[in-house]
Amino acid sequence: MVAKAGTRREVKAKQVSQSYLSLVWWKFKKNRVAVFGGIILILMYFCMCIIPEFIAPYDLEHSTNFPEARPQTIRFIDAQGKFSIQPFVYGLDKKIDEKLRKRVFVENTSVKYPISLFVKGDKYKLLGFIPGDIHLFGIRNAQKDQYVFIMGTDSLGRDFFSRIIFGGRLSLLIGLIGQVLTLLFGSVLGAVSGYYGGAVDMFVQRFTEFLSAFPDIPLFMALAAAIPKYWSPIAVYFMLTIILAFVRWGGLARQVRGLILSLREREYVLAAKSAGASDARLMFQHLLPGTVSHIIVIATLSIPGMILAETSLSWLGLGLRAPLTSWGVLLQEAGTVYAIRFTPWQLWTVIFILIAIMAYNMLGDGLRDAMDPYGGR
Amino acid sequence: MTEAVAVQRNDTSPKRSDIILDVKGLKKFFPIQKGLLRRVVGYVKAVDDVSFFVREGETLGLVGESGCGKTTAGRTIIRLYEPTGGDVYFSSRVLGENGKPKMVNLAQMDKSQMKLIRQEISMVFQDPVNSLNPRMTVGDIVAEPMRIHGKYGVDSERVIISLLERVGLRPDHLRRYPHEFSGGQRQRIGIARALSLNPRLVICDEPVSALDVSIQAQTLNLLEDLQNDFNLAYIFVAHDLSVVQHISDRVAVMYVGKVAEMADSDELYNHPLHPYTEALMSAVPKPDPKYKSERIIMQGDVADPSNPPSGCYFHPRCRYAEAICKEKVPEFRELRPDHFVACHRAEELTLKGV
Repeated sequence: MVAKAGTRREVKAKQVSQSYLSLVWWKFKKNRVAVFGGIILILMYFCMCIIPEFIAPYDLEHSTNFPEARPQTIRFIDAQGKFSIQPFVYGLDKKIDEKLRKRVFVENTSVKYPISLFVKGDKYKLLGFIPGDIHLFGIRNAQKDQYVFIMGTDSLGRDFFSRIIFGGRLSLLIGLIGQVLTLLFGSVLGAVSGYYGGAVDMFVQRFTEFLSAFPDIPLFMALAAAIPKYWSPIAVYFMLTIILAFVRWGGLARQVRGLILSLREREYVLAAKSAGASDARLMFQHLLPGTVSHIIVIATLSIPGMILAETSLSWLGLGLRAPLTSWGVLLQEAGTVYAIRFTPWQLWTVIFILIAIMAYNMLGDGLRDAMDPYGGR
Repeated sequence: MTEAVAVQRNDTSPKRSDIILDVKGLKKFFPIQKGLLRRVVGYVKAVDDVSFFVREGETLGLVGESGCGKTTAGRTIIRLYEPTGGDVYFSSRVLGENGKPKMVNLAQMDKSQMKLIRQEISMVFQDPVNSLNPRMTVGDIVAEPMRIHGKYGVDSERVIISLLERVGLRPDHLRRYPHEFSGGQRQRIGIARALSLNPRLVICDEPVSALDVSIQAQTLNLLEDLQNDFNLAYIFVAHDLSVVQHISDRVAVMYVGKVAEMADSDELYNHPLHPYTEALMSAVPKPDPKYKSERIIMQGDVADPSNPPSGCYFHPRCRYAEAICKEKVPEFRELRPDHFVACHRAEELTLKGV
């Protein structure tokens, strides 16, 4: 009887009591914009980092006989005015444009390629080990020279949509991995600096000031130039990530230090101290949990900076290089007058970068509001 | 109820022998650093040669204006701040043998021994919002001192529940978070935490000044009840004189890092010996609308603890000051039995109490 009452009481307590995280989640959910940003990001990361081979209709290096083909319009109504529920594209015919003295591709309205979902295509291995050959969309039983290019092709006739998807993998991951490294450097050094103070604090602070006083681009150039040319592209990629993280941890370290300094004087920390808590207990039970929410927000809001930094470095030719494909590399290919004049569809990359960055900012803003659930109530 | 308590206390008139805490010449200076190399250019003398003692089971009120060093004194005793000088003698049961307490000097103690002492001295803090970690449940907060000292066992949850009930909370509050409570309830949680290791001395750092008046009374009554039940000694830091009078057996008045006067509560309130105490007493509001108050308006501001005046720190604001007050620091002496004062002219002056 007594035990029964006890359990009932516990159940009741569980219903009314909200932990910090559940409060944050509750408040975050109410912010539609932030949730939207979060969903976009999850979708982007899932499609581009986990299953890009499935999403992209063609392999990254799949060259075709249609270089610099303009995007095919996806149609439901054909030239005869006949409607079909299944979308289709017209086939492409090679033509010489007399005025431009250039080979162009024009739609041949007599050849229709219906677009189907889940079609067989180039073989791939998902995440490097799950074999498959099904792609999200494409032309069923495609013969030679039957293709669908929804965003055109590049100068080697490779499907540009596929390249954007594959490029997103590197660009989005560099932001994430770089940010994780920044978090490690920044929060550990910031916490140590704020907690111990004195000479340690002095050294860490002067070092971050030194780093932040250094002009970014020349530092990138110097560090990027120091990467040996004979390194494999993947090694270059990771090196670049480390460089980005190394240059950017200073700001985070300062913020964490400031937070720790203010938390250190909170009375609950003094209470634990007066009860005899060890340094480790103070750090992990009282100080760091108080900074985590702030760190997450800063991290979310600065990942776009990471992505942009990779993009601009690669665009300047200092970052990733072909055969690696990132959004920066794609933009570099698009960054000529020739490309802007004749293959403007290569600027589709910009739209994807914008979407990713705006989604991060929406998410970050929402997190910032949600992480302080006690205020404004 | 308070009368009964007072009578009971008079019966067991405490003797010198049961002193639990004896602070002698305690100093805490905070360095003022300047420039890139953090050169020390001076000190804020927050606590400057403070002496007082607390007897077992009694309440010592520590009053003074803000910035006079009362909070710092409390925190230095428990070594939240490292003392710059002086001694803090504490009669410790933990370090004593065969259950007999032993006088130990907290100011000279190493960290591991100090940790043992921390079971016997605990603190209640001022701010009910900031003194509880928002990420921890009430149960975890109250259990934390037990966990720190490795005393959290199978039946500890039962102990914590009875403690919560003792301070006026419900057992189902155990799994809730601090933000779900009102200010008064949070302060009760803080008190439960302070009691979780059965301390003998509790340093209450302005425990009621952030609460509204009706809650203040409840909390004070709770503190008094707990004192009777557990034979606790309190150091009660506050700036509200009526609160201090209500709860304290003895009161020490601090001014710019020094104790100006220390005596039994009634004695101090009725027969102050220090001009500063007199001025404070004249500021106590009377619950009588017809009473014509003769407030003593003090001249000037509180002295700067980084650059205090010469001689008696109070002399620039004292209306009885003479030449000697500017030159010599007055000695803190026992003028009447159990009535200590630091004033050159204490013998000749007749001052007005409440």
